[in-house]
Amino acid sequence: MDQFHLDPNSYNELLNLLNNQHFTEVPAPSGDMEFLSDDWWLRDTAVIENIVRRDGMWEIHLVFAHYTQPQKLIKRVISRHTSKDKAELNAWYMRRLAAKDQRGTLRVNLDDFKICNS
Amino acid sequence: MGDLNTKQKILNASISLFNANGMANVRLQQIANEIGISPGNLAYHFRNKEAIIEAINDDLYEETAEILSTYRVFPNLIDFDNQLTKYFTFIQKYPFYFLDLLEIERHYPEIQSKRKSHITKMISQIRKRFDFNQQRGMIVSEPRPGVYDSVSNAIWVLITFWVPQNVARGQNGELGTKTFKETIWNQVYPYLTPEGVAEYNQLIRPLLQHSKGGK
Repeated sequence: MDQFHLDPNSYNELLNLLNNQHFTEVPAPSGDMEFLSDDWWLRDTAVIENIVRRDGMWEIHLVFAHYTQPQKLIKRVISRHTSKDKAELNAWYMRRLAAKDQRGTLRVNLDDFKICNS
Repeated sequence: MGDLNTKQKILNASISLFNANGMANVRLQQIANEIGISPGNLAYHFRNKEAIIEAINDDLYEETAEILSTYRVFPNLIDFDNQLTKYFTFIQKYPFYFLDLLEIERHYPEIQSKRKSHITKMISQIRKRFDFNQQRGMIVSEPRPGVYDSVSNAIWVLITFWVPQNVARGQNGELGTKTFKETIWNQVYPYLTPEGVAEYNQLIRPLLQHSKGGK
């Protein structure tokens, strides 16, 4: 393998950057990670199932999109199946389970995406 | 797997023979005798001595690169001390690499050119440690331009020629980690600020006291 060569000036600059990191990098505010625990908005989401073929398996993806602001969405891989039929059946059950809400099934209105067709 | 083991055995035996007798004085027959295989078997794995040296050099290169990659893992003086421990382990493992400097320079230009790239990095790292710790308030500002460049070079000389000076003084193997690290820290100590001295006393002194070897 050819040896990777970095000229001394670039190497010195690299060391300077490493040194500066200590003075410039500050811990982020803890609030930045709140999105991980802040999952209440998931109660107001429409659930859309999606089946994707990957590595010879059928993957069930569930997309949770907020029913008034559909740009706010999250996608999760739920399970993988060897047959497409099995994946479709499971996806249907899983979507029904996830979308279960006392208010009835929530739906996303396509107009809320404000898609520009021009 | 068997091949790998024999190869590794040959390399290990070569390193210990190089360390004991010097690179120039070791013959393939000796290496074969050392591990109890025939010279023909040895030639199957390495066609000549140059091939063995090349393989050892690859290991050396990897190990030096690994030591250099430990720059600024900790944002305090411990970082340099850790690297010094690694340098000491390295020079203990491959003394021939430092004792046969001229031999390597004359006969193995490939090894020498690789070594040079590491030398530049090593000195740069030592020099940048001064800048970093000065910024942290642990080291005083440079008394005169160029002083820290000279001290960095001096530290590099100490590390590189630690084994040859030991041999020259007839103290082969007597000076352990403690003396090695103390000698190098003593180059830095005069430039520490009161905060630097406090950090040194808190972090480095206890480590030196528990290091092996020395006076």
